Amino acid sequence: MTDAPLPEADDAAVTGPPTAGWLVQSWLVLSLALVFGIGLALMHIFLSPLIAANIRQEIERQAPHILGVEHVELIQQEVDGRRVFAAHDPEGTLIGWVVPASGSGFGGPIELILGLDAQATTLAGIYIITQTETPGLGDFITADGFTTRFRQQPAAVRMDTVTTPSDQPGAIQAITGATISSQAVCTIVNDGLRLRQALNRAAREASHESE
Amino acid sequence: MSQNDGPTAGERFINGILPENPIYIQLLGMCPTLAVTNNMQAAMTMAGATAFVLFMANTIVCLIRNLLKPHLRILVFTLTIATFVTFVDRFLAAFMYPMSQQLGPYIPLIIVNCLIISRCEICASKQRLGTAVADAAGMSLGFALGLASIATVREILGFGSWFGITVLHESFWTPWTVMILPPGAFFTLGLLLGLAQWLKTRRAARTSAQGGAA
Repeated sequence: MTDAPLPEADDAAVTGPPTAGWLVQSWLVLSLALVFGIGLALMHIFLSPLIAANIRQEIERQAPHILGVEHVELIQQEVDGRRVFAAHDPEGTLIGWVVPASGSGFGGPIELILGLDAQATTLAGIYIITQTETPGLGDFITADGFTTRFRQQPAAVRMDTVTTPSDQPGAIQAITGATISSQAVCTIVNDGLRLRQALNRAAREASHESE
Repeated sequence: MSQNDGPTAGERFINGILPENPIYIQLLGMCPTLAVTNNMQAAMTMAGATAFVLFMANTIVCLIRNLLKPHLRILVFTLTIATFVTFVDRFLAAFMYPMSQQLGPYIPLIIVNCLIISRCEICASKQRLGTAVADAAGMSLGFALGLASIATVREILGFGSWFGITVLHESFWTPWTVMILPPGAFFTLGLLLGLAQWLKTRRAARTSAQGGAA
């Protein structure tokens, strides 16, 4: 838009002062952007609670698979200023944590959840909730073949991508052709794992209270 | 250019369905055609989403067609399309969450579906509202028929079902897994395109033969 007027531009734009020229040229684009922006903002106000509820349901559905149990009760709480879910078994014992984390992928935001054991020392697994990675390459981050590589990793090490299968803790074999998407998932998981000490403290406090 | 140039509303509507079918004749929108046609539910959701965006984009572009600056028109088209695609994407995430998960990035990718921007450029920015709306309806119908034809073949052969309802029972039918994978999309599209072209040529030959006789 800030380019010099093109040859076919209006006469007014060419002869008028530069600022007036831009406005003459672009008032329609600017006002449409404003109107559409307001429209989308209103839509967001109405729809985001519904979308959040859908995501919450998805987390409830996936949590047992990640933590490897039949049934869990998720209780939302704040740890270190972040929203996490304490996972309890039907008897009310704390069996693990579900931590939502998000960040940028190759094609847009990635949102995922991490499952941790009660002491937050081991990563039980991850599940990708939303992603817009390249179809056929980056979107393999949602496949079991990739997410299972995070199973039973120690929470204290940083996840990092490697090119060949490795038994080293924290070594996640990247997806061929989707190195950035793979690394993005590692970065997001590491971000979630930063809560491990706070979660560990919260777990100890909870067990003291129950005693 | 006069507002009455070009095909009438009725012609636009008919053209969209078969004579200028977006998938079989214009070969536009190949991304959703190949990517989301392994079952009817996904294909019809995509067709509905595309129809809504096309209808809204054609209507808005048509209403502001006299205000468009030639060198900024593509920007206005894209802005309009992107707004309604965002709306559809959030709408699906709110009300059809599993389908939204299944379609994933293909809903945002409607923004770059050439079918929509080409209709804004060819019809909506040059003709009257009635014509633009008829054009959107015809093209949407043509696109939906194209997706449905491919999805029907792929879902029946690949899953043995249609709209999730079993039509080929497992007892005598082994599903062709390849049909639900990307290669199945290429096989089906290629064969159906060949069929469509064969029918078209045969029809053209017959018409010209009749014309010669008369």
